[in-house]
Amino acid sequence: MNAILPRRSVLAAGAGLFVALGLRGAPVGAQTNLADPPATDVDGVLAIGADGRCAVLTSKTEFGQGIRTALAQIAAEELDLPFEAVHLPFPDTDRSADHGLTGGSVTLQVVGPRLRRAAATARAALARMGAERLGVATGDVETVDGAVRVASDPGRRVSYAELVGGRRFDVAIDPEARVKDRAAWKVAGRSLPRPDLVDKLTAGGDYIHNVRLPGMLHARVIHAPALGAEPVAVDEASIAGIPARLVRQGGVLAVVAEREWDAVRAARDLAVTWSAGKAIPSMEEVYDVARRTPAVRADVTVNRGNPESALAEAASTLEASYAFAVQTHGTIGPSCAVAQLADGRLTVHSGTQAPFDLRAQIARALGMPNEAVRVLYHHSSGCFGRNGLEDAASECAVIATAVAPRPVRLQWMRHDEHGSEPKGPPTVMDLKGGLTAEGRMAAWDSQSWVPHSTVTLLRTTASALLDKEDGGAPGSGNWHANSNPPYDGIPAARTVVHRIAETPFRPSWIRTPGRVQNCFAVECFTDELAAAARKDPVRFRLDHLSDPRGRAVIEAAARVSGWDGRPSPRGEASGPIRRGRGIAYIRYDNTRTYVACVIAAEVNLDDGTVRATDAWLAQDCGQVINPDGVRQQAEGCVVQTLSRCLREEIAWEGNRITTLDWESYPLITFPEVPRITVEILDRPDQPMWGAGEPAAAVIAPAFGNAIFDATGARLRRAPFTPERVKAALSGAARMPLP
Amino acid sequence: MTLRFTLNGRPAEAEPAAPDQPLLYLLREEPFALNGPRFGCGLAQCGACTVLIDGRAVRSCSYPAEAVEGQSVTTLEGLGTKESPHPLQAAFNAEGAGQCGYCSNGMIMQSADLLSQNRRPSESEIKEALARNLCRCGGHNRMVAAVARAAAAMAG
Repeated sequence: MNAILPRRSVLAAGAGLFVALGLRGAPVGAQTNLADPPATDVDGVLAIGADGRCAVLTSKTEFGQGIRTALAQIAAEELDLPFEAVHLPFPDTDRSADHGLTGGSVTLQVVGPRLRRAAATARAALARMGAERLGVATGDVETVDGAVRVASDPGRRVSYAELVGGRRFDVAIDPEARVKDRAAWKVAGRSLPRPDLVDKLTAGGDYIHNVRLPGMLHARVIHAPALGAEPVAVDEASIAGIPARLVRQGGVLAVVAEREWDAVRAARDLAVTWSAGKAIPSMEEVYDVARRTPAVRADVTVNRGNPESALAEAASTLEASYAFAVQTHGTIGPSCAVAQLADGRLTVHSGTQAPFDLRAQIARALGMPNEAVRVLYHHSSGCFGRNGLEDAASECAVIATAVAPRPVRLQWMRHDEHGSEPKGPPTVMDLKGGLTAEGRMAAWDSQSWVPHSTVTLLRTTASALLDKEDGGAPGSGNWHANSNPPYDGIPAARTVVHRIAETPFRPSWIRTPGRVQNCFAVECFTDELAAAARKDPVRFRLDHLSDPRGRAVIEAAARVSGWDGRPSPRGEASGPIRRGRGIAYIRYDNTRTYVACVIAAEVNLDDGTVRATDAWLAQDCGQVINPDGVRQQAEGCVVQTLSRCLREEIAWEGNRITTLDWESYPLITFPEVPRITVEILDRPDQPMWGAGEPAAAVIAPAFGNAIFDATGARLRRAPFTPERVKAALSGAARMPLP
Repeated sequence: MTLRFTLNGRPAEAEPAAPDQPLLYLLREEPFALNGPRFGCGLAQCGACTVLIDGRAVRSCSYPAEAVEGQSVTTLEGLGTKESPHPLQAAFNAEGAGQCGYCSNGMIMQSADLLSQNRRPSESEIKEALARNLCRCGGHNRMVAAVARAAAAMAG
């Protein structure tokens, strides 16, 4: 094994290699935690109401990604219903089918085809029932606009409502049910607007923040200001003048009041003495500490040829390390929940991604059976992964037990969200690459360090504060994904991902988990190799990639951006503002959506500021249900990930997070947002794949590569702060990280 | 202390919980129970809570309720409704300018202030006017297009 690894990691990596032998060269499998349990009957997926409208029953939640619009389009299409006649009731653990948590860009991919088959089965059943009612053969009827009619005599018809309205189908989903040809689509495949948007733009929308129940109290929690700190003394007299009362259950420290402002100021004014908490590595040490942290296991994400000998025989070699900052989800509306314990039943309103998992976690932490807990979903502010929503819900549930039977609303403050939600963890990747004399990639060898898992680590805050296990959230975040180079033309490649036991903050999945960080390293390092070979970055990639759909997105991004083929850096420029362009490519999880992005960047040599002026994105996510929905997600991926590349970094001193607001953790602003062009390569005859995450993966490397093209300075640590840019410009960042 | 002010065109009265209570909390609680202005940061940094006071955009999370005495407050609800939307609301909907939508209250109210001062703002003027409003979903370019669309619609 590689001599740069400390001994413990060598052992862990060895175990991983052993396990992975059977998977030689194969990508690590899809995320099983996001696959929905197969529904076996139509009634578990959809229902026709007495009014003839169709309800799609799913636990998948909407926070603006448009999935519920697309699912409605699929159901309407296969059922021959108008789009307006299909609705998706908010997930409710008492009523909805458990389709797993919403994330991983898998909703359309996993739920879409099943819903389509269920709806096609239902349409066939309706046709049979209708034909019987009309006294004709099944072959003589057609389904149109929510009714079955005789094809030769359209006046003879019977509506779906008359046939099955308010009743069960009692029909098993037929996996062979005939679905419509793409050419016959009327509702799917079109850019229909999201019905939820107009409410959000007018009356305020049905956000979790807007839930108001009769007799509802208001609560605020007081979180420890330092990691692991516990309250040593709480001076209740400090809030004696405020009509609020203290609630302490285990380690949960909260104030409750009739009026919200009284809860806010009581939480603000409450005098608490805290213990010191636990020591964590400094910001500068954190990546090196990750390398030294014991690995629970190692994933080998590609294993092909013999990289050691290929590197030894290469005409030239390169080594580099890439690191990505600790980041927060940056939800604009801080986490919120409403809970009530009454008649032995706990009802929790939440904007959670995972209503059923949250129910199980709360039930277990509170020692209640699952059936005694009901979780109802309401729209949330965009969470982009597991933020504080589930924590707020768990804490609110605990407070509800103290104020029962009154309902209570808990709203986190801004500092709670920035300080106490789980974080995108620090990640680091060390890479080695070798080139042939002709400038082809001959060898690739990488080691990276990511959290073991968020499964056992990601308990709710209430679970930890009560010191009661809650089973953790069933999501791994798949931090290993896309740690391999996407180029099959590299003859010898091995990439090892060390799944380390702990990171300083609770690690969470955050939009495009692992792939943002891994693709940054992999695609910037690919660019380094292309530059060392003096090859054009687009040509270099195409020369190592055989997959036609992958080549197609790279070629499309190059075409729409007007790519000027030449090696990077550009050289021959003058003045303080330098301009360049970079490209990056990914096939998401090595198994699905293809994306390539070209970014044009400007670098100010005087002050080290960087900006993206244009982004051209080409995406193939298979069959497209709602083109504008795909476009919106792609645009969001560009902007949000540029924001994460520009300045976003959780900072801490000792064991205290210091970035507790938007001044200290600034997001991208309107004047900084680039022009964005999205080219969708629709594949009408192919399966549908996700569009919410993949495009985010290519933004950091395309931006970094553009900065390199402009200046010759290579940024290997995100975000690209002016200090880091200036350091890279002076050549300091050419050295590996400490 | 009873405050008297105008809320969405109607006379309103309210008792703040304390002298330092920000206007946002007053608007969101009974008897008003408004949903348009949203809590985002409580620090006047993100804009989600924006309302119009005497026509100008104000961050209600940091505006003392006491100061509203005698003033006229307009919230997202007062601007327009689902059935009869303000041109800005209609334009945001038409452009798909909003994903989670949580920031959109601030974007629309800040833009209403802008359009009352500048009937045909340029793209860069719109971006500057919204530079202190935060959006996490990345709907920025669509919002800029929506404001331009609304300006064109209002200009007739």
